Amino acid sequence: MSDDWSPEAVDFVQSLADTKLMLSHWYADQAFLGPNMGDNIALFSMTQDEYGQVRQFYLQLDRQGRDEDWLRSERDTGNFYNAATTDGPAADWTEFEVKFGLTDRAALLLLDAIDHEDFTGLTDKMAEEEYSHTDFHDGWLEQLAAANPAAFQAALEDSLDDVLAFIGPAAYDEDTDPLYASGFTDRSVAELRDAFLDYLAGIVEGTDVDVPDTTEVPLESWNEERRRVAAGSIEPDVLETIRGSKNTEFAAE
Amino acid sequence: MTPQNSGEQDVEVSCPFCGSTDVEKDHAFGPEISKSQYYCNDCETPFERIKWGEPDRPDTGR
Amino acid sequence: MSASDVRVTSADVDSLEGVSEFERRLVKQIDEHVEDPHIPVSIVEMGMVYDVFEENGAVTVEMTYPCMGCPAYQMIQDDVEDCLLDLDGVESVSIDVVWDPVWSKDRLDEDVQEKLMASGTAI
Repeated sequence: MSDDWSPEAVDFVQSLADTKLMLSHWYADQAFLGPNMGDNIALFSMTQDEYGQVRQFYLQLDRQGRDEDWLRSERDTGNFYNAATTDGPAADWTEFEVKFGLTDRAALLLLDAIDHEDFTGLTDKMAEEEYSHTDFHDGWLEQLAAANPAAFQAALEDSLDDVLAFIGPAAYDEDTDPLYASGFTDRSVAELRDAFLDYLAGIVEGTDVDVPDTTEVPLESWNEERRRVAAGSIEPDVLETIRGSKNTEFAAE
Repeated sequence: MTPQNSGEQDVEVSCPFCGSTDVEKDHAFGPEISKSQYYCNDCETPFERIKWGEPDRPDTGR
Repeated sequence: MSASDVRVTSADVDSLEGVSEFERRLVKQIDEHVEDPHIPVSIVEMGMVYDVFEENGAVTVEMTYPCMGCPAYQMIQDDVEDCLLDLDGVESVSIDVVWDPVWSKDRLDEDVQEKLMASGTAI
């Protein structure tokens, strides 16, 4: 444990944790959206994986002064720093895979970029778990892009800017990205965005889907804490569900 | 059927019931998060295999 | 992993150096009392206990999990704490969950691998 995290680093890790918390929630909430029984089993496993990762991020955040009780049960929806793509559910399987599969991939790129002693082993373990998530999502994304290009294209146009805003503004290169400059990460946001767009180009290669032109996020309109441009947040009923307010009597101590 | 990119096996896996290596991975996810699902073509029995410790990591474009 | 040489904080540390008799007894206590909830071996045999040290009755256990999302995450820690507090000479127990090194099934001894195979789980 160390006390050299910058305020931006604490926000960054909270954003990763909160995004994974919401991925965990939607994986569970929509587990029967999967076309096959095997998909539903995968979604329940991924629910658990994501939640386990959130638990470790929260422990780290608590040591940096971001109280775990506050993170778990005391804050309001505006204090969730989840990616905008994870505010609400998906309408169908194609939208589910596009917005949550791509968000899961973006979160992986971000956590993999952390280069700090408090995360030694921890992010490698997460990457090990994520191997089967990316395998699952990539298989589906490639298949859906080929089989259902119009719906895939529409979902991609809805989600891409929000996923990229979660990764961060393109203006954050090696000279200007505060996390990179402080040494907390070893890849700048600009590099991570390029890596994500290269990955996405590989997914849709050979299909009728085109990667849409991306909107440049102006630095002044990007919310550093919540890693998004858009307003909005999870709904109050979702907050109640993820807190488990109605089930406290059954919770382990 | 769920599409999977990497059903191929790098490591030899043997059936815990008959010892055969004529087995295939059915699914990366099993009934517990610590296990994957396999099938033995010799004794025609599904089995589980404990995960973790292989070098596979997702490509992050590094 | 056997209960007698649990201290393996990293590959370059001698596994037996500096471990007291009492610390060995603590490891044995965990080995005898805390089972993996879904594999018929103890968490010590599973190689989940990385280090146990004691000073003036204060015990620290460094342990890991094969899966971050382990549903028995808290239950296992509670069981470790309870069984150690049963021993004379233990005043307090603190558990550090660590991820370095990342758990691997390479940590399983041959006899443990055999137990897993016998229970229908391949390695």
